[in-house]
Amino acid sequence: MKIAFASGKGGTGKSTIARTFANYIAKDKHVSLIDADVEEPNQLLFFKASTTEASKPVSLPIPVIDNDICSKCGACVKFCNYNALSLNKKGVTVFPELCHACGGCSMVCPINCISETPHEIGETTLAHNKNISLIQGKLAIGSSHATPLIEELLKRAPQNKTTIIDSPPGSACSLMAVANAVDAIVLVAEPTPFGLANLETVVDVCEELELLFGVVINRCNMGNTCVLDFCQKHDIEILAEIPWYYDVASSCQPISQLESHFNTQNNPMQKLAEAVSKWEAEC
Amino acid sequence: MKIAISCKGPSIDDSFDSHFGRASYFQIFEDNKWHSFDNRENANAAQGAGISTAQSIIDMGVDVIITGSLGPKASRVIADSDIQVFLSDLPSIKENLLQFAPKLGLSITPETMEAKK
Repeated sequence: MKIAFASGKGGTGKSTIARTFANYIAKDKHVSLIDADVEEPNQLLFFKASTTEASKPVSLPIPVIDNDICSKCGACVKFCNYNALSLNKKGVTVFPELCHACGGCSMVCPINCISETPHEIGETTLAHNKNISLIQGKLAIGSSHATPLIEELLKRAPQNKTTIIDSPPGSACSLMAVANAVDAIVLVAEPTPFGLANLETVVDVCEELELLFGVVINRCNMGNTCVLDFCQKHDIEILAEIPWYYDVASSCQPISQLESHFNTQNNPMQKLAEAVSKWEAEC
Repeated sequence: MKIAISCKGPSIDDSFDSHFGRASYFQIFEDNKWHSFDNRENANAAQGAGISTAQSIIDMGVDVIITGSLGPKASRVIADSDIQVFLSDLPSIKENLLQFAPKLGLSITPETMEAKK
């Protein structure tokens, strides 16, 4: 089963909870943890890898125009919806950073003077430790192609029975790239008006895509009851509530200290695991 | 000589727009006549507004651009053409034309400018 940890707002604790949950369920099975927050991946920093494989580049095919034979008809420029091409008397200029690699320009070129070359948009890195395989995607500096990188990252991820995806924040295209590939989504929210406003946007996405989802309230000992009230009103399941601890926030330890606060009677990770098993049964 | 000046509205009395790619209109001055170019489709592009605006300007056969600033991508498109670019911060379209006309060897007075359209 593939489960994404997402939130409308950055900094709600997606990565921390995804990592803690991965550690929790990795006690008795293999888990893949995917860091899909490709603009600012950080799971590797907190992961005690026993082996780390060499990073592999991710590229998009970008057009190359042979301006020596180009007839300067402008068909490719007219076709490009992303303004990645321009034509002047010297020929066609390509702006790789704007190209979405649709391949349309080479299809419409009447004299076939367009070929393609790989343009690097980022890389993926695979690391292992005991039962956890972590794969991280990292966007190249200056690149805005998060979506195709995430799609490739998900393809390269080791196939395990349980896959946990640390999603990028927000409710835009990069979340969509993750949402399209998962069975269920855990929405992490803070119990504040700001947290609620951002939660509402991702709840809209999940409902629109008819996804299985539930909410984890992080830092539940802060803020107010607005997220709780919202979830009750809209009949959204609260999967777990996790308090804020000073030592966890201040430590930034490679291995999560969060779990050390949980006792067997009241472990949010156990509650989350139970919710996931229930989803598994539904799928 | 065809001169394009970035403008916030469809009339030459609308104010100068310091943006190039995201300018809604361009006022085009040629043979002592004005006409307006609606650039809103380019200006509203999700990405590459500067490139598509520069493309429209080139396709129109413009010789001179007067605008507030030109981004790096639009600059690359314009650089490979023969178009001359003047950067300005004067608030009105007419003032801009009067300011740069001498540098272009044009003798333009407020009167000749009015006698157009």
